[in-house]
Amino acid sequence: MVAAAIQAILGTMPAHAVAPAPSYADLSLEELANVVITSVARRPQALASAPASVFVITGDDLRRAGVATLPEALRLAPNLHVAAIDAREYAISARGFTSIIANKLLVLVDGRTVYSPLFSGVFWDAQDVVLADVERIEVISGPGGVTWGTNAVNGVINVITKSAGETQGALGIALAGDRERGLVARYGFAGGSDAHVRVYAKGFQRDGSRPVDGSPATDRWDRGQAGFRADGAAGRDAWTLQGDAYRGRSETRPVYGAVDVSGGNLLGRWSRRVNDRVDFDVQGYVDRADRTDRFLLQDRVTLVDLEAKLRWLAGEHRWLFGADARRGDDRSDPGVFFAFVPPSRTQRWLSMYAQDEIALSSRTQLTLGVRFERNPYTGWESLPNARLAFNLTPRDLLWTSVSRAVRSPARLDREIVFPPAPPYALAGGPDFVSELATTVEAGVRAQPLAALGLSATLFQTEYRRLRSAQLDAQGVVTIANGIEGRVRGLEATAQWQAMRGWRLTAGGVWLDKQLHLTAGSNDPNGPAPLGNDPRQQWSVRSIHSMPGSLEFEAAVRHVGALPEPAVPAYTAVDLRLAWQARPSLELSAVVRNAFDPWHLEFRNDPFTSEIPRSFALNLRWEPR
Amino acid sequence: MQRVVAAWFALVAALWSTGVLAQPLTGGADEVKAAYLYRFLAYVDWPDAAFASPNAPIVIGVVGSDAVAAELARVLVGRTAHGRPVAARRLASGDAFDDVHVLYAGDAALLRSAWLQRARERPLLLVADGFQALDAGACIAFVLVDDRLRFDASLRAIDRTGLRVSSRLLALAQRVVGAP
Repeated sequence: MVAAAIQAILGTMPAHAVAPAPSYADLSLEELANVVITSVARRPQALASAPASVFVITGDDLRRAGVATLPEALRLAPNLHVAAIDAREYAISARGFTSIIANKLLVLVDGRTVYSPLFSGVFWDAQDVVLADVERIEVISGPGGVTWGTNAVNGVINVITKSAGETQGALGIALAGDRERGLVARYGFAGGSDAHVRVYAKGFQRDGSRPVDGSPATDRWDRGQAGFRADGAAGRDAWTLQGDAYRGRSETRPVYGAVDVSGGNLLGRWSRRVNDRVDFDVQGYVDRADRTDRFLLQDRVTLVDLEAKLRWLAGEHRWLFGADARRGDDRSDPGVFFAFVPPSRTQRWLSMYAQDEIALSSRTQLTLGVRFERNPYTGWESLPNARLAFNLTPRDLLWTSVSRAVRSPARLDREIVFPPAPPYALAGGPDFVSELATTVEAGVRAQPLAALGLSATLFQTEYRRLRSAQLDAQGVVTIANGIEGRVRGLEATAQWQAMRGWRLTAGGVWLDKQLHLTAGSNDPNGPAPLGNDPRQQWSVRSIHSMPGSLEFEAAVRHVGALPEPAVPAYTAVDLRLAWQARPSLELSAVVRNAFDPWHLEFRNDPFTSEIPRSFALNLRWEPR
Repeated sequence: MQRVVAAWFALVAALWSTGVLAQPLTGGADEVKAAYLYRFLAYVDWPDAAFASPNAPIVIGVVGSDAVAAELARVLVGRTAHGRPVAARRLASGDAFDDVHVLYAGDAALLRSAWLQRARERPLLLVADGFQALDAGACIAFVLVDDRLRFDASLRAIDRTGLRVSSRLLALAQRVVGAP
């Protein structure tokens, strides 16, 4: 009777682009033959998966949240700190170090890294995807593992779009609100017997926020993007070709003019299943990004990347081997304050990695991996990591890991000067070396009831050689590695299918940062510029499916106070009501920051702005 | 921090030496049977004529076991095999099985019924419990060996269906009967 009730609840969960639930069906025939049968187990059991702190934002989560841009979508991950700086810029990080130039997070879209080699961080105003065509966003907090590489010190965000075959037909989305408006059009069609293509175009505009010093807002943001994706399969081979082009422009600011970004990319991937046990894939892409911002910097970068991966199943061992070569051509013209010396630079990176996932038994896996990466400044670095996953039951996982991660120098660490011409007050960082992070984590993922999933991760990271400023006798600043310390914390999430048509999800992070200057460091600012992080943040979402094809979602998110520069804690409520008027037509209304006309999320003096309440109507048309 | 890293490895080694890490998974028979039924799909080739269209799903039917049917329905969500979606279907004695590709008979007595005898020459993988099921015409029979669920296979029954079954599946069977 209990089983039937649980089945009824599970059976009502919406089937939008659902990923398979972890279960015994994930085991191979050999593994199934070793499962000890107990007659006691009555409830459906699920096999918990990765030994890492992962939060997956599904395509359905994105639809339910009514978000229009990628940074807003990332607020759904409780292990990320997302702070809107103004209408255009965001500061996003995991496990601390949130800053407009946050550099400890690796972000990829369909396998293409989107961080700028200029500062090892992401220009969030240059990144966008059609959220309706996103399969899932994997948010991994902590060092991601050998497949991710340097920069994945505190986490990895992996945006994965649906294959062209899964996005056939037409899709139109119109967004009209008091502060945002946008249009998305996508069309997918078959291209031959085994190939599918989709093409899309989207435009978006967001009104300016409100500067705290009372000056008029000049950060209204317009952005347009178009692109395509084609996927095909032929026997044992599968291939993908995709590309995007975008242009974004802010308002014309007094003196400095507008911020202008544009760029495009083209990516191709080919994978082959050699046999039941071996498969490999090769991927190459070109990414070009232009930015004009007379106040800050003018930058043009072209990245070319080639990567090959081989997976080999050999008995108890699941091997992964890979190699990656990347080249970046960067040209940076001086802004009002900063310049890069030399203005142009060609950089090359090379990395190789190997990982073995060893099944010590049918319930225990030990993963050992190492990545060697060569960067243009410090040569070879090694990033080893080890993980242990122990299934207490098929659906309860205990895991632990230890990793060494590295953030290698970027142009910002070595070659930035201020003012643009000598004599310099800030003369780059000629001796800046890689930042180092050693992380130990332990986590649990449990499903104590069929309708209740819990996860928690404890972590501690020792940081060494973090970026700092060093003054010499004449008062000239160079960039050095004079800060170190320890960050530890707890991440937790819970998902509860409370009853038919009502689901609750909650998550939170508690963070304890203890950073200090090393002996010999005379940085006058201390660790504050490295990141402005709350001690805790949490969020709760209540998701309802109601009769009459109605959906309602309420989300409450709370971010604790930021220490330096001070930003008060805030609690924001987002609401969405949607009506599936026809199978092909969905109408929804979204309110963000419902109870707060303006609030502050981050300080970016002297341009600090408050984020407004906003309201929007959405229309989504997808004929089937 | 070096000490922490060393301690981590020492802990893993200590846990391993106690045998805790070497323990096998446990599970209910119904869940494991449903998992097997899904897993068999990769080792069997059905002719194109067995499907109404290139996108038609592979259908795993279950008769005589509500538990396995329910577990299968749960497990198959979002899964595919041979590039097709997979679907579970609950059948009752006498139902048509023209578009069913795998049929698990929870009640082995059904195997001898006229209804299921008709299934034997169709491209349908018939699965049941107990070694005797192979005599009654099942292609694959689940058997419990040392508290672990394994399976036996009948080459004669498989040949009758005309299905191409990978030798790797037969290699994993506990016993194969009817080998020429």
